[in-house]
Amino acid sequence: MSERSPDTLATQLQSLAPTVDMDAARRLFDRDRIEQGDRRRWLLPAAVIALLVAGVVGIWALARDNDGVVPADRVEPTDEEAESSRTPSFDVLLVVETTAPAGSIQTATNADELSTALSPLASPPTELEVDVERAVVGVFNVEGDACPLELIGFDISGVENNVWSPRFQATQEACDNIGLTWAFVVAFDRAVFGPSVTFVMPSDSPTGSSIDESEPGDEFEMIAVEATALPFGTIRVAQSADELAAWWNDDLPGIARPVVDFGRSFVASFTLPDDACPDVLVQFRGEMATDGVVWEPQFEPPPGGCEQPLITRTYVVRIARPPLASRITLRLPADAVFDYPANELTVDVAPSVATIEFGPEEDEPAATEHFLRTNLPPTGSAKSVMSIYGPIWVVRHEDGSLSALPAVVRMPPDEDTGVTGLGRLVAWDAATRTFAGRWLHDEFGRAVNGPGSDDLVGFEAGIDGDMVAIHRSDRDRIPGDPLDVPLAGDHGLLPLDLGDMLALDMLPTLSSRFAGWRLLDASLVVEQGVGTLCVVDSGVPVPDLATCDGSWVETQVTSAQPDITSWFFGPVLAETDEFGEIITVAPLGGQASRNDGPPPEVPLGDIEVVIDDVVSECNPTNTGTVIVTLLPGWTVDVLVEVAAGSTSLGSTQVSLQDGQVTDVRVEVADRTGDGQVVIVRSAVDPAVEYASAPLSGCP
Amino acid sequence: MTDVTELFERDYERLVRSLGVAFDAASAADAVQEAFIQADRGWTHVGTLDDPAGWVRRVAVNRLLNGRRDRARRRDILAIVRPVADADLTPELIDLRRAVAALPSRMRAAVCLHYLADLSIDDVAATLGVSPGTVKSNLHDARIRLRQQLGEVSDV
Repeated sequence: MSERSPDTLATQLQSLAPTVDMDAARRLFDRDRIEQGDRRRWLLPAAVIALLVAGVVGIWALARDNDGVVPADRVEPTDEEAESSRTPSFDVLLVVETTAPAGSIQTATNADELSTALSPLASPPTELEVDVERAVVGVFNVEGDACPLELIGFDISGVENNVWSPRFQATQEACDNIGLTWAFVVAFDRAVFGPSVTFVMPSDSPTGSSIDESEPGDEFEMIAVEATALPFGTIRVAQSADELAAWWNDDLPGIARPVVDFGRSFVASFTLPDDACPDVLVQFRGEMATDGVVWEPQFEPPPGGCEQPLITRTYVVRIARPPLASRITLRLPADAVFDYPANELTVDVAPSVATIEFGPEEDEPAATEHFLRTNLPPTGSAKSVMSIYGPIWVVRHEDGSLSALPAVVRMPPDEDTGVTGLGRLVAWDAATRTFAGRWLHDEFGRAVNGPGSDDLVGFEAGIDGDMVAIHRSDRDRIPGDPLDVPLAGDHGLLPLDLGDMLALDMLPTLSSRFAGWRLLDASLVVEQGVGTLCVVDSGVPVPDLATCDGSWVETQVTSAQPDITSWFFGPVLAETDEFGEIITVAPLGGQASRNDGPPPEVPLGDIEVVIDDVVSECNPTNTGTVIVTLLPGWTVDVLVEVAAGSTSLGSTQVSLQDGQVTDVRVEVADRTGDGQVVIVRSAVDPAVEYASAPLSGCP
Repeated sequence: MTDVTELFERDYERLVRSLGVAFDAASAADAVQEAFIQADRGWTHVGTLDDPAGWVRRVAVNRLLNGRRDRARRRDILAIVRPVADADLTPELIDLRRAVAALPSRMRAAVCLHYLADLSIDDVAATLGVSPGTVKSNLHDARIRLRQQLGEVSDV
């Protein structure tokens, strides 16, 4: 009997496998987990972070004498410098490499903001000894090389001495590896500032990414794409909320104006001829001008294209401010086909700044900015309005007060399908003045047949003339028990305003970082535990219903039952988080599911087992041992039998491993006689034979 | 399984190495990374499954078979995984690499999960969402194809 060498396929494949840097993998995993919103995993318990570290703060406080004079070990300004600069006490907590853009600034006044501000760091600290209740933390990101600069102080300017600009100096001669960005994490005593402070990078700071680069970088975001009546080639710019409001309502009537951080961004809009499938803004092409740069947006049609009548479409883009004050000319070229001339708009763009406005005094009410205005509904009625925060029900109660309640709620995991991440619309019944979502709610949003924790809470709303102004701040739950209302009602969704419906392939046209709710012409298919948006034909019977092919968009909807395929038919209301992930899907159509179960088994007869050798022993008692050497094509349980005709003379069951030569011993009761044969059968179904070989009898 | 980090430490490298042969290394690393992120996000459910590792494998393989990529993370992914260069391989291994790449995607995945990730037939079947018999058939066919492409004598 010969032996075969062990299968070398596994060994050879190992030689092809890539190497993995587990340290880098862990860092990326931890970073991605933080960016996905779970910021608590790497932070120590809140008590450790928020607790005042007596040693650090005590030492820091002792560094200032009772008159608040800058301590002697700090840089003292000359008389000439005192007018324009002063070096206050501050504490550099960290200097570490970062992925944040050079020239950018992050600030933090609480633990959550601190976590966000530190997340771009290459190695976010697991513990940072700072009392975020009393300190303000600024993260200043500066381009450098392998040897970081030194932060030596701050220049203070502004009418109220509230504009602070860091001063850096080189510590030694330049090192290699240029192009690193360093984050200086700095803590300030909040008491140093007045009502507000604005941090701005100095004009001569080594920010690296300057305005003479060909592209403004990755920091632009499409915030609206709408059909309009504006002339082709129109360009608009806004550097403040007021400037944006000045043309938004005229250019884009009825469209909710997005909230933009104008400290870090400005807004530009471009009106172009288009077809039914809006183009995608892929980049800005830049070129030098005599007094600045010229940026021209570059659009590309989506895959497939359209053949539809001409549409005028306005693209509104949020663009990150450059690190330096810049004169930028936005340009749209002339178009001979549609016969409109080139257009340019030059704007002096202020650099990116970070402004903190500290809370008002305790006896002053906090001012809140409204993000939406809508017509006042009649007393005792409700109307709906769509916003980036989702659809909202506005209720005007009998006493004239208002409630602005969410018209979509997030549902717990579905018991039948195991799907997590679904939402449900909230319907209104005018007769009973109740809402129906997951529970029945009274007109103030209080859950009637559910827990108080599931009340519809919503937003602050106020009357402004004949309009309702809805504010960003959350409203407190209306105290008290829910009203005594009928448990049944005729709740409908018809008056619910869900905004314009987008085709699924329009979603990539918008920013990958568009946060908010959108109505999409798509269905949600949850297959093998993962939810995907795509277009399916809901009219097809379930057994033949297709899953996602062609154009699809991934979601964060998941299922704990991967063997069940579920369809939630559209259109759907989809919520996108600040990272561009679709986190909630509220389907408006029906629902179907299918338990796919295990696919049919491969016929056993297709399995191949080869008899390599048969060695037979004979002994005086006419019994014998037959040794059968098998070469299995895979792992299978077999019955090795010696038979004469239909009579079994002996058998052995054995489990074969793919590729492993196996010797099977079969003890045979009677080795005399002719016509004996070795048969290899399936142990599962002995009627299935894999192989056979004749066996000579013993004399 | 106490938490997702324990699972990550145990399975990440093995999964990336095995799927990095069936598919390209960076795509495999990206898919496995995303699968663990999804597991982390849904750990309240995934952690209660009988086989959380199988859930992660399934999601990762689905992403690879469907060609899903996270472009924003690509630079970070390339810092994690390094494929074996042709210059570091013998001519026979280069041929094997090409032969494996020529296999249909599911067959490739079955081969690599079984031989490289050392998964049982049942686990491979669960990962691919097919029956164990189908996996056996795939492995059998793959061996025949590899033998033919590499010029080995196929009979025994």
